[in-house]
Amino acid sequence: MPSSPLPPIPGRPPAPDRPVPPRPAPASSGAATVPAFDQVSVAVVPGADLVVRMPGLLLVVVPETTPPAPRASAGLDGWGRSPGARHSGPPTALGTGGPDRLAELVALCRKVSAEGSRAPGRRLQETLGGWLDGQSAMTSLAVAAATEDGLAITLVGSALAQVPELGLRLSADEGEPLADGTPRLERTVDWPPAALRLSAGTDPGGSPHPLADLESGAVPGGAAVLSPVASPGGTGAFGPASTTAVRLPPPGAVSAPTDAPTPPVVSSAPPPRPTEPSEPPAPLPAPARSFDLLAPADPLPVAQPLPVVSSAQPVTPLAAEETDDRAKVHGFLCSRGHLNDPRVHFCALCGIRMAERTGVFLEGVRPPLGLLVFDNGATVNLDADYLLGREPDSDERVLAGELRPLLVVDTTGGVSRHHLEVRLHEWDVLVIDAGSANGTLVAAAGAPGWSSLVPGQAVRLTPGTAVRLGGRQFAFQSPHGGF
Amino acid sequence: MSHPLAPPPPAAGDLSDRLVGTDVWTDGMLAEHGIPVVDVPFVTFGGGIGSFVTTDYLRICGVPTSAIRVLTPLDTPWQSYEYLTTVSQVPRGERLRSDSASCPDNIWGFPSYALREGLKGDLKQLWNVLVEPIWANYYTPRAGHAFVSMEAEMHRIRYPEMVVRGQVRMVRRRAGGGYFTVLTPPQGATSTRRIAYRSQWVHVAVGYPGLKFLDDLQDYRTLTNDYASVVNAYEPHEQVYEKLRAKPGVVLIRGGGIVASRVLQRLIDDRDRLRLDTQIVHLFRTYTDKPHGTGILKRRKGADGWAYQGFNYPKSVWGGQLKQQVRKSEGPERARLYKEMGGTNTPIRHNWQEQLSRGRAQGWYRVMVGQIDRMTKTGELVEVAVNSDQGPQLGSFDAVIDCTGLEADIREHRVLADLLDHSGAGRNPVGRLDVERSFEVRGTRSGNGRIYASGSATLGGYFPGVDTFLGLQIAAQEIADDLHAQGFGSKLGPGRSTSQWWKWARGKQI
Amino acid sequence: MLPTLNGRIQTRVVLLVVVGSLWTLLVTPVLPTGVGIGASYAATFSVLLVVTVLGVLWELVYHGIQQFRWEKDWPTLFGLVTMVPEGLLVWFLFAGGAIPWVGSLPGWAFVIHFVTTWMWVFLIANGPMRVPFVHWRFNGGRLV
Repeated sequence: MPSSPLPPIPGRPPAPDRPVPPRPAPASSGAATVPAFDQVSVAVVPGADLVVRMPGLLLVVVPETTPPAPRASAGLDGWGRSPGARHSGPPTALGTGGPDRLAELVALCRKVSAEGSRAPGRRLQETLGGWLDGQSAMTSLAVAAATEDGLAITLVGSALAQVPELGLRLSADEGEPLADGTPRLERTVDWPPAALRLSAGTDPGGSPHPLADLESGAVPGGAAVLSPVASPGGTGAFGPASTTAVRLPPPGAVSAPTDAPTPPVVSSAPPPRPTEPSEPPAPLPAPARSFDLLAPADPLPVAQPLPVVSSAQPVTPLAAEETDDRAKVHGFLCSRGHLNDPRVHFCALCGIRMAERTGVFLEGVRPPLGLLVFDNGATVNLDADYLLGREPDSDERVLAGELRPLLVVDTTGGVSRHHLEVRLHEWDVLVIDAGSANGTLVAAAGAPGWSSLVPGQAVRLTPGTAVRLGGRQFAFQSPHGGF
Repeated sequence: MSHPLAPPPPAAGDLSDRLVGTDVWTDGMLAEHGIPVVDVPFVTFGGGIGSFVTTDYLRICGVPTSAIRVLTPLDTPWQSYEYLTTVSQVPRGERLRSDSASCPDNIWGFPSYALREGLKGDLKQLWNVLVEPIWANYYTPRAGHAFVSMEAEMHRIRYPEMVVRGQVRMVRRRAGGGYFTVLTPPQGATSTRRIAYRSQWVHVAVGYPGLKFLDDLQDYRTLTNDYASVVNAYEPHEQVYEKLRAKPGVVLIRGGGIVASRVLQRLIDDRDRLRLDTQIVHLFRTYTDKPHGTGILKRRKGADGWAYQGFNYPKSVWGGQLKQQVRKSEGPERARLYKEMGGTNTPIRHNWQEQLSRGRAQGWYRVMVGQIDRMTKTGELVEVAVNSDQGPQLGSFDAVIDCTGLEADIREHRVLADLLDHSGAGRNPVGRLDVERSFEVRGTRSGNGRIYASGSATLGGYFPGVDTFLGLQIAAQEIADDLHAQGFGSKLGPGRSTSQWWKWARGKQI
Repeated sequence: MLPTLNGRIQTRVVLLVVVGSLWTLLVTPVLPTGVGIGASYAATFSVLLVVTVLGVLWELVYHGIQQFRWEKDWPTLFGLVTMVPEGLLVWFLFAGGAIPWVGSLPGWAFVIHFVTTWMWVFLIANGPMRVPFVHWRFNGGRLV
């Protein structure tokens, strides 16, 4: 029995009954909660609804009832008539759930927030979705919760999520309604670069007080405005790159990008500009996988919300649906029946030695061939062909569905609209420069320097190869071993 | 034979169901099937370090290259081993967990690796072997040192002349004595699909049958198609380190063995060198916080969750008191001894001990005790439910590195399964291939022929340290002695041993 | 070196008899014994004999200590530092006149002879011994 008390899993916020501590300094060593989400300010616009904020999520909900009436005040002479004794009818839409339903909703959010650690968004969406399915005549509510690289938004009833500066607006009507027809929308979106305004009932309009800031708790309000940047004192800009504390390179290392493959944090970060306090000290490029904000969920190239995984569910509908489309490839089966690259010695799924069987080529569904790890930590699972670029959506092969678009945001402007194709061929991953203006550089693991891709000519990636386009860089890694 | 093989097989030079179903083969059966037969007295297959060390020993005992064939799919004897050490974070420049005098390139263990480094001017290493393990951690050789010296020995004994490329399908007893080893050469290399090697002796050195990644890891991969976030330490997982370089993250390490210590060291090395903000949570299934054991004479060191041991067994299993003790033990008694000496353990090394205590003090290395209930993918994170000693807990991690992994059952190796099913081999008290003290596979004798086995597949026998460099050499010695007793190879007495050593020292090809 | 009790005793006896005798034969003439060559040889070989006989008893003690070690080993360094108690015991026996047939043995002569002999045995046991006796290290140090 260990004598020392064991620490909780990191990311577990303090117990709900304790006061939430002040926001952590962004550069603190523990990236325990979602720093960006929990560091941005939330301003509450006055109103009659309820605004609840807890680590990782923000909820605006129309209260279903007024608080229960106080007990009869017979014994308290001189206090006057009890205020809510008789005339406290339900002021707004009253559901069948009764007064406890709101408490139930808040408790559910609190539970997910407490468990879900850094990015409770997807989990909350799933949990909340399940809970909503069991409700009827649901009151209006809007929830925004942090995901690893964006926000998970759920809207019910007349709720709205808007980015007024950009003219973006999401309403519950666009989604799949609840069983009783109440509109409901579930969506995973990118972090908006401007303020996000959430409202549940009627948005009272108007701006919040400039100093208004709800750090944690539940207060009455008509709408909540989620600031796009970290609150004063925070250093991060918006975006997933800043959701976690960014380490500055050691003092000597901050220099112009070198030609040698260097740690991505260094090479992708322009030198800090300490003279401008409003600028983040280490501006990082925007995320590699930035999708159109508030775009429909279907065309998202990667990271589609996965169905709830449970052991009783052998194959998820998503996987089953994709099985037909997924590329087939010839390979060897391991003795436990998993398809593998003929060149490997150990099964990539279960680890058994491949020498168990004498080679028989079989065709099967190709497993992912590895992944691209971008300089900001974003990863892309290689289970399809991709087109990387500044505007990959405009390519006709993308429109035709032949390639998946992968938007690469580069502040240096060095990434072309259609820059680089990443293609899967048999068991190999190939990169082809799509005639980019500034070219693409590759460096295999251990290579002395970068070499330039010839446009249109395919080059096979080996594990550990670094690829640079404009000011961005990614590395290819593969669980299938190095050949 | 009980049933003659009436219909000729369909494919030229291939096995038929009837042949596969027959335990003991005659020369005529192979002729009927059109499978060519090659005669050689001694066949070793597997082709890893086990085959290499045994061949080395026999060559030093004067066996000519023409009398030995090594059937292997590997390019070099250390290919598999190097793959596994590299992915488990011991690349060539790092040090193995192996003793100074365990030299697969030198059957005498002299000069040891430390002495060789000392002779090249690194006197620190000599001092280290003198004062270990009291005032220093055990000396261990660099992986690259072992591979390079093995390569030199490989050419000295003309190993490549003995290698035949291909995959061994099975070994069957031959009516009249000896064995047939059926080889599947690479496609197109030969005119027939199979070749049979007819030999009096067969040496099985197929290594361990393979790892078995834990079921929850496999389930996670099948359900999510995410092969990158939940990894086993014995597969390439550079993407985890790569990702952490780009973005701070939290990693869950599972397991308390030697690989866990090495993976932790890599994570913390990166953390220190690149000034990362990696957070580490370490999940132990059993937590060892103090010296433990079954009595005052059997107390193994332990602290902070780890059970410490210099090598994978107490050092004296390779030649001392415990070797003698196990050699005399049988059945459940032996199984008990194995359990007592083995188990999950790791050597103390000052470098990672220092790193972990720094991590504990600064709060970025935390320990949990418990087992994983389930893993689910939430966004880019892996949500892990742990049934800990403090109750159920839930956490989200950027990566989970599983440093446990089970070794597969010997039946999962096709050749070993065939030996069990058709050639009379059995299992030892630990469940692996049962071998005699001479490493002969018990129950498989065929006339004047014998099958030997060494390496991990024989774990649980009369000698415990089989899955180590030194264990392979000990097995090679026992096998060579047994072969000499049957008239194969010369006796390695003081005279021959010294003259052969002198040839080794001069690098003279034999 | 991880020998068994039996192996340790065998190794010690053989090495002292073979290596120790050779070295004693070579080194005795140059030792500052202050007596004639015959008497010097008598003294140095007596030391060798006493060390060998007592050594068997010492091994029993070491074996006992070894049982408390998890690895059941005898670290290399122990083989060197045990020189001190063993040497002191032998010296006291000689200086105290417990070895009746040796008249006198100057301290320096004893120290040089004892330490150098011990070093030879120690160095050979920890390496070169394995060259002619390739089975020895796996047999727990037993030669027969």
